[in-house]
Amino acid sequence: MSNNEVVIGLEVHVQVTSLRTKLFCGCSSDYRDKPPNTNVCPVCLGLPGVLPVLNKKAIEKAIAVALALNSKISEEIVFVRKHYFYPDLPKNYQISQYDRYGLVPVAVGGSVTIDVGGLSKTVRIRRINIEEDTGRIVYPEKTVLGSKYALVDYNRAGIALLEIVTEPDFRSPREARIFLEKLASILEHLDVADTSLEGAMRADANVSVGGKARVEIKNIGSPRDLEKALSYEITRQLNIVKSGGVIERETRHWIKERGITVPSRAKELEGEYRYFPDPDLPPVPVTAELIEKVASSLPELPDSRAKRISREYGVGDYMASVLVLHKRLCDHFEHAARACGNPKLVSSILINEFLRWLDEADIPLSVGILRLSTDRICKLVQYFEKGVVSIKLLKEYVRLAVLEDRDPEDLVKQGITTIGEEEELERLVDEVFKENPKAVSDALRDPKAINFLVGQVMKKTKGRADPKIVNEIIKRRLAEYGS
Amino acid sequence: MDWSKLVKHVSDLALVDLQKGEVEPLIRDLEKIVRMINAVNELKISDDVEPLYTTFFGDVNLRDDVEVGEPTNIKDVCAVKERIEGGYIRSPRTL
Amino acid sequence: MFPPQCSHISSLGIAALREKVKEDPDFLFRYIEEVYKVIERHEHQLRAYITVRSKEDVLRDAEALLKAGNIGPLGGALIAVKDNISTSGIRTTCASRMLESYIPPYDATVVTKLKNAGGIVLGKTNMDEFAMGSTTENSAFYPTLNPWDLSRVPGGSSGGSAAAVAACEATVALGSDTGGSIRLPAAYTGTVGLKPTYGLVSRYGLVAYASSLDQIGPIGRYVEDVAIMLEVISGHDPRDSTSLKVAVKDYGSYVVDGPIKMYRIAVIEEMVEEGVDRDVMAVFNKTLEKLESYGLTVEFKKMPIIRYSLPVYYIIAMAEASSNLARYDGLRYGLTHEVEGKLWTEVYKRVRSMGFGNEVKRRILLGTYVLSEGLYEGYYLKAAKVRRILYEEFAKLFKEFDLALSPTSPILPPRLGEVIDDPLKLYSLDVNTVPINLAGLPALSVPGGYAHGLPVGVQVFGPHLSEGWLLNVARLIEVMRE
Repeated sequence: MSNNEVVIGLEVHVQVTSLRTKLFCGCSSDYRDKPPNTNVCPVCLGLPGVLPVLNKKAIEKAIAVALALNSKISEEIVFVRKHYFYPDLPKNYQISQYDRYGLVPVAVGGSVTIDVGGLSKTVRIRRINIEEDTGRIVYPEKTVLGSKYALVDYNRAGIALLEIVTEPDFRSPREARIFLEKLASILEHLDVADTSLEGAMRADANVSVGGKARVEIKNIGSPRDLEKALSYEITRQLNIVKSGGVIERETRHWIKERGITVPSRAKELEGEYRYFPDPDLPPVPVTAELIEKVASSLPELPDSRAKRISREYGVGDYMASVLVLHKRLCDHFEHAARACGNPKLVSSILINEFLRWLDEADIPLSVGILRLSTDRICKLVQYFEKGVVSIKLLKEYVRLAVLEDRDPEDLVKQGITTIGEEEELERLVDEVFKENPKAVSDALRDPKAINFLVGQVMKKTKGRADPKIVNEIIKRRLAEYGS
Repeated sequence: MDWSKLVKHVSDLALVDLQKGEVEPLIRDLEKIVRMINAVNELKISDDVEPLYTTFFGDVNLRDDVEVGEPTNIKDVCAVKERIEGGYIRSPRTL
Repeated sequence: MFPPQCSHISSLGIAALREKVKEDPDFLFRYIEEVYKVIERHEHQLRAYITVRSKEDVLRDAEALLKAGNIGPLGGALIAVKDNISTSGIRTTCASRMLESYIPPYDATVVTKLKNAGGIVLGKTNMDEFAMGSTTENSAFYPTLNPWDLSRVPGGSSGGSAAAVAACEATVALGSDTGGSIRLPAAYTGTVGLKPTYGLVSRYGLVAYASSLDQIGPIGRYVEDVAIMLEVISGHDPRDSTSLKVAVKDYGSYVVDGPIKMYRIAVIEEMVEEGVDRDVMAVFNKTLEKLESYGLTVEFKKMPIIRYSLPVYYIIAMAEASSNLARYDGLRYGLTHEVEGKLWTEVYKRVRSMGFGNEVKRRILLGTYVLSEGLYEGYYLKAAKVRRILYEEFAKLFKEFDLALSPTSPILPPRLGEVIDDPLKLYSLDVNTVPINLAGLPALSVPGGYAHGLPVGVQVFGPHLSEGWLLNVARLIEVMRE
């Protein structure tokens, strides 16, 4: 092992958002935005005398994930109690699964193949568990240390979680991020979880550098955060080693707002969970019939979908792989490509422009899709193909649609179209030449200096000129001058 | 067998404290009881005996994924009204 | 034969009460008055109850019952409910300071069934704290006395339920049984108590002590009452994952004065060997003789593994108890404590140390111990394996025999304070009842006779779902006693 080899393993917790109710009681799974402690019942509050009853559908969802990840499904679903005291845990034990003493998780083994810069990498899955989520703790003074006490909301307690644990197969933060993105996509395509919902996917990462002590980082909420947190932590560890220090084996907390990890003092005595099989939940057999039923109705998974899209729409493997990362984006693409034609253009619009604006302005995908609807995309395709807008203006249209919900048709009506007519452009070029004699002589000597002149024309037309044509006209004029 | 250490460890795990006067009598009782339960160690049991964790042998009840019942009003549960703040339940700090 | 607290009217059984009420609905009010008179006269001594509902409330319930024309199979019977069974709107304390002020927002399934069958909840009865104990001396509030001899214990942990029924302070009662907690007090108070097959009666609403062992069951003055109650409370409950999906039997039809079958009865030798009181053995042997006179066969069988029942039971029960009682931290209900400025571990410790009594603390600590790192295999896992062997031994036994009998307790009801200071002495009261819970089998205790003016209980048990036969044999013993 080289001195700086990075080894990373992940523990991902995903809420099974596709279920309508919690894992062991009939409370709604739609707990977000509800006033605190209004989505609870005696069972998920852990009142004296209550008992858990398993959600049938949860089993099917777990099986679907196991099939998609090629894991070996256990013959029985066995639940254990995992004991620790914490205000967000109503029974002071969590109903979960274990993998020792003959007790088994839902599934073991399996793998996910990811594409890292053109190279294929297999990430091995260690196990898949079903377990219940906890409540949420908030602090009245907004900061932990400023508050004399805490506040607990149990609306989330009892929500179904899937825990997916990988082997420590990642060698860089980027690989970990790519895996998490792919996993999110698989779960979305399976209709198991919508990981874009707040708190729906949480990752813990175990990272060690150069074979030294392993540090666990908790509280990571997105693939992007994962890459950031891991990069930060690796740098932190390298710095410690460089200055002659020792890396302690510990648990740290990722603080997103500050971009750092800090030591976690919570949950001391964590090691002693005193697992034993939950006597209130006898083992549930997983029959071959049930597995077959789930297998036969598995939806199209990202890898197959990417291959099909690349083939069917001719957009190329890379574009296809980006499209399948978000199921709804991909659904939108297919819908628009079929309705509007020109799939290459549609995919380019969505991936190169649409996603960029969503990102920069932090707009949710669902909102973006409403604003850049299929109807609007079709209009864009038409306008482009007819030359009403240049590629540059097309991009502008997309921006206006996503950021300001503007319809392309209205923009055209306002006259924000490409000026492509040669006459008009020649006149403008002549104007610019007159106004910038020095630039003209520069351009005569150095062809690259043309860009300044092009820019001036674009400025005059407020970007509407077709830059390609402007470029040609300027070159011609210069050629005329030259001779 | 260091009983005091054991009792301290277990009472930290279970978050159950003992008053000063309770520890000695407890240790005496624990010694007796542990000796009694250690009787199971006398038995030689082959590895292929499956442990019995439940005497329920029917079809395990499962639930359909449909909402059932009315949500509980937290005020009906938490007798001490002062503990509820804006619908939340007050708890001690965790850090 | 009844203890001195009973009067003619207050000693009525369910069927008799129901018939009288059908004839004359007003009789129900007279009955209620009579039972409250008994309570007024004797409860301050017996202390069988933790909460008695007001007479006005109960009379109102009776009126509503009669108006709805639904007296059901229970006919207005007054039910004493053990205080670890949830009753909506009525304090449910488990005889613990931890839940002294806890009022559940829901009814246990059995309570709902009772009410729908024409029963009226009279009050919540005293018990050993969180059902941990065999004499009701572990109640955090006060001990209950044995109506037959006020210097003695009524047994536990359902001592209050058994005493209330024995002293005619209720028509019938509900108790819970984890290692003998219905059968032992039934034996000590001369009443009939039945622990059903695991899964026959819903546990939803029963405050858990040891989940793989707990069952709710009826206690009555008559075998017939127990049969009627069993029919009312048994049956599938979708809110309990361990609830059997079996049809409810007409248990009343098994309560006939002759044997329905020529039962082959086993007596396990280890359950009647040294350690069993001579007077208890005398009653037990007489019972066996009388059963043989019906033409039933009795045979003695060895089952050496049964000697390990007590350690196996305590390992499993204490482990599960430590887990079930983890939730009591004072945040959401029950005993509370100031939370400001403190860490959660500190607050929880104070609440749990103040709220739990000594026996409960003992079992939580030991349960935590046996489940802890490195000890799981040596204790819990091992105990579970021995449990499997025991279970299979019983299965083998009941292929050869229909039922089995034993003395319910090896001794007569002890005096107050006699066994409570020595945990092993206390635990040994359950030596004959505990193996039954480990195997999930049904069992009942029925009075077989008396010694020195004290009742002696006979335990009848059998294979899964054999409650009908148990009730039949119990009826034979009841008839013989009369």
